[in-house]
Amino acid sequence: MKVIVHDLDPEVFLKAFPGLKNSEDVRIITETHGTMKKCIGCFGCWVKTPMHCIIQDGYNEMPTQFAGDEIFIISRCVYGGYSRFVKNVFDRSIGSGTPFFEIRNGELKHVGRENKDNRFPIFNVYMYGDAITDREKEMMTGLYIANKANMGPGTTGELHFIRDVYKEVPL
Amino acid sequence: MKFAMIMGSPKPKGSMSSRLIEEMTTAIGNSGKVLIFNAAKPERFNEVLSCDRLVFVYPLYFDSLPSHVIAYLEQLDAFIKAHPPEKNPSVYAVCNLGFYEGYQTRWSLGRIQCWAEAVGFPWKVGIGLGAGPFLPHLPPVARIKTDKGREQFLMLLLSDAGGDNIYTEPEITKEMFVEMGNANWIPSLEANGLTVDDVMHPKK
Repeated sequence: MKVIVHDLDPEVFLKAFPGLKNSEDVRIITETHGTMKKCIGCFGCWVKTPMHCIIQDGYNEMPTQFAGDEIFIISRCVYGGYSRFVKNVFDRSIGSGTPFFEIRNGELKHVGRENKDNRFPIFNVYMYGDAITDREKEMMTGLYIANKANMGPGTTGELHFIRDVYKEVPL
Repeated sequence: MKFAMIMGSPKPKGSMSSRLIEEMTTAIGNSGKVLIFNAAKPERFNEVLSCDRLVFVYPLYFDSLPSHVIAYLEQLDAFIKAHPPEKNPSVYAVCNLGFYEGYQTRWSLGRIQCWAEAVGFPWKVGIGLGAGPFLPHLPPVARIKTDKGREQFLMLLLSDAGGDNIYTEPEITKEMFVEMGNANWIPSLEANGLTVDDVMHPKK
């Protein structure tokens, strides 16, 4: 399953990539069900309804939807990180992990769920913008490495800073 | 001297961020007036910008800022560019996280610094508080570094000074912290009729 999360105009995106449609192999996550409500830090997706967010706004299944063999993130670079919507996809998907702690490579992380096949995603991130500063690149690079570490020890992929999504993202 | 405390926790009450704001407000005392704002309500920007110092106080969400704080920063940025303020307040940030290592907040503090640079306000310093939500439950002997870090941060805030970001962690072993943190979830699970196995192997 290829999962694509983006913050672009959904119609423009589909016109630019006409071969990409939601199917058994592809899932495109965009803000098409109205404004996505923010995570409220209730931990319901951990201790009440594990893997399901309790906010019923059409985005409550992010813990299962934001997962796949290959994850593509396409985000405007905002102050050295993801844009509001893309970050909210991360926030609303914390139920995909567990609340429990473990020490990995000397640092605290959340314990992942059982991963019998020991499979981890390819996590490719494309940050777009016309004037991304060096500090923003530094902060985003650190964030990307931290995200990968949190997604699991075998997570691979690359981070790219780009100007033109429609010319530079290989979808 | 006016301080704007901008609350970045989405919780309406009982958050560690609101507790930190209360404690900083008490510590500021007669040294200035504290105005409290909520990032979930992007309004009263004129009041925010009437302050001499802006302090963003938030929890770490997935290695970074909670999404609504990003929205708030962008709206405040647009307001500043449309209505250039008379003064450029100094920018500070306080981030707490459930993990042990305060330094895991560094990319989020860096985003506030990037925001300050984008709007042309002077960035001063941030503090990342490891074991944040657990701090009120730790004995004083396990909070020595944290308390020192917070005192140092407050001193910098009161004197409009800056420096390298400050990162704190509790004086207990990581192993003990993991044990304590994990045990902390059991009562919540039991209250909802769940077991650890339900969390580890949920029904999809």
